[in-house]
Amino acid sequence: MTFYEMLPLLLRGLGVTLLIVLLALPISGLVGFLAGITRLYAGWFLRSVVVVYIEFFRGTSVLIQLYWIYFVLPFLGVSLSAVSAGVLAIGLNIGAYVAEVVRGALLTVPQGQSDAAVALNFSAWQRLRYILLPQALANMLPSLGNLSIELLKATSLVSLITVADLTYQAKALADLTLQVGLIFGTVLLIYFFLAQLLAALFRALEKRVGRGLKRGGLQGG
Amino acid sequence: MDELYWDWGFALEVLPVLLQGAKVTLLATLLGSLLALVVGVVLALLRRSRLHFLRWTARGVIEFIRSTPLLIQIFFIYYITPEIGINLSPLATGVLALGLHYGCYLAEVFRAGIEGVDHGQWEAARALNLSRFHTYFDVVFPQALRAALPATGNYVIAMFKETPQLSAITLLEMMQLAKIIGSENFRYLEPLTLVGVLYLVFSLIAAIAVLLLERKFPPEGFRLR
Amino acid sequence: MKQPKIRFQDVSKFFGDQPLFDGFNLDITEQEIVTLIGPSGSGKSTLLRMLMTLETIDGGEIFIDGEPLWHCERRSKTVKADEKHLRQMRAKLGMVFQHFNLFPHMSVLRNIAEAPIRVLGKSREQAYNDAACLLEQVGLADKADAFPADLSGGQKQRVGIARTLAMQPSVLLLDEITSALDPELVDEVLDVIRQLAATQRYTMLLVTHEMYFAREISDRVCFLDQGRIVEEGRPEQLFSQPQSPRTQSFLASFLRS
Repeated sequence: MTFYEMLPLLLRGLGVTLLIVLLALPISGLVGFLAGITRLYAGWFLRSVVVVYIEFFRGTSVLIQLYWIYFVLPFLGVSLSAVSAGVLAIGLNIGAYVAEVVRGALLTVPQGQSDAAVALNFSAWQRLRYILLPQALANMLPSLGNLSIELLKATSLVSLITVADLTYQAKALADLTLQVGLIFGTVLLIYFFLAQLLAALFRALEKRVGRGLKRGGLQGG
Repeated sequence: MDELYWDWGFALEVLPVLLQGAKVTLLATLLGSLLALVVGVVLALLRRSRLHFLRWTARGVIEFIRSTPLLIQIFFIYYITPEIGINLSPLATGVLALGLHYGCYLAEVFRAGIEGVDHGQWEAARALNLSRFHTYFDVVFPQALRAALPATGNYVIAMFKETPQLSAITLLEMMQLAKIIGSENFRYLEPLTLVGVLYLVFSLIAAIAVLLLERKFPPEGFRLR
Repeated sequence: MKQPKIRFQDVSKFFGDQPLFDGFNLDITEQEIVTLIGPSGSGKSTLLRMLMTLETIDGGEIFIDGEPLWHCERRSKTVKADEKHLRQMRAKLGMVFQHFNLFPHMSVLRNIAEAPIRVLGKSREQAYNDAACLLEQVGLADKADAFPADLSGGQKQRVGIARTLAMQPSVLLLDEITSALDPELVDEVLDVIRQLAATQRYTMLLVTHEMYFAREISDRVCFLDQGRIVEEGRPEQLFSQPQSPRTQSFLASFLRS
């Protein structure tokens, strides 16, 4: 089997990998922001729910969570397709880490900012939305960029629950053709390229967000 | 419909088997950590080499391994080693993959630790006419390793949590055993949940151990030998 | 007797199990300018922060226009103040901070206009026009598009004052507003306050270490020590003939330094 004959399969796998990344990334972001903010500001009940979620998902590994959602949930009456299970497990797992990044970044905003916002009679939501989050965002973007790469890497695990992603195709081709070096080398390079792409994306975001802040200077208040 | 319920009898039946697997998991983590420490220190030193070429190679290797999936690295080693005439057991393959992968993370931790050592310490070592080797081993490392301790501990825990991936190359660790039990009995609830709980418990113990270690080694540094 | 604008009634406040205030009382009448002086740790700033709801109180009550700040009526029962009640009460107050606390990610003009737009529901155009007027009033019309980091300390604080005035409070709380400034920048900020005091009718509660300023602007000066008002009176009286030995030694230490 020549490399050109393998290419369509690899590209199809790449498509699946990208699909999972594109679905899991917003989920992890949404869940992470909600959980991080809840952990800081909500009442004790919601806060403890979120703490359990965060510690549980950070304390065990993605693969266990993936298997649990894929193999155990059906017994409890919730059957998900392999792709959905993968998206959900990875989104929730990375979301737990995002939550901690969001919480940490919000804590770095000086107390005086929140004081001033209270004194100007902003509502709790407005304080968060217009004063605290814009300043915290600049601090969290580098970590969020790293987490996006962790998310990309985690998507390779869906191959273990029969999703035909890039890793799955690579292993299938390796079993078939035994051209191990070529196949895995290519696939590793593809993942590396995707990771660089994510890193560049987050650097660009950082620049955009940082522009206003740098002019303002975080200490400037 | 009895599948909906947690079966304590079944759970207690599979627990001893899973604990056997836990031994393999812990062994893989331990050996993987030791290898990662060595790889980490070597790469960190290469990153500080005087030779441009070594610096950039080390940097490229670290960046590449860190931004590609561990699972593929495991497959890669698992498939390529027989081709080049080396026969590794699944455990050895797993340890190699874990050690290399996390060695690259540790390299950055150690580098930050070394660069965090006060400049005056280097000058003092030069003033005492210590060799480069002794400067590193007697002066810099004890301080740098202390600074790197918490992050190192966290990466060891992270590595521990990634050992289930070794089930993909048939290593009979906890996860693989749970899957086998699950498919034989058509019942995944208890074995997979137990594995999750065991990981949670071990992670917790490890996190406490890291805290204790931090306390045992004072921030001022400690003797290496 | 006229109802006080602000009343601290038996207010207590603990830090840990250490009482900072224990049964503290103070009345401030409408349009009165009251300055709190005293050694650091005497609780001056905490009083302002409790009034601004930045610190909770552990006992007693604070009244604004006769209405309790920390309690409200809900379903004809008196309960702990909720966010809605606090926001109604805060609308009467404005606070200027020692460290300015400008929003670093917003231009000067937006710093001033943001709250009127979001909180008072002003139109964007109206809010920016008003903000420009206020900037002119504090002498910074040319800095509308600058960011806080581009400003000197004195300029930052003048923006801070304009931002507070934009919310049209009836009570101004000024918390050591010149303490973080280089000495040569103090007067440009105090001039703004002098002008406000002369032309507008705010009730003001100040904490300051600028004794000459306190003397010149205040209707009443209170010397605070360890959470109690040791002595209060008209400024000329308190500064020239302090009765309590504690006040005397505090003022003497200021003269020396």
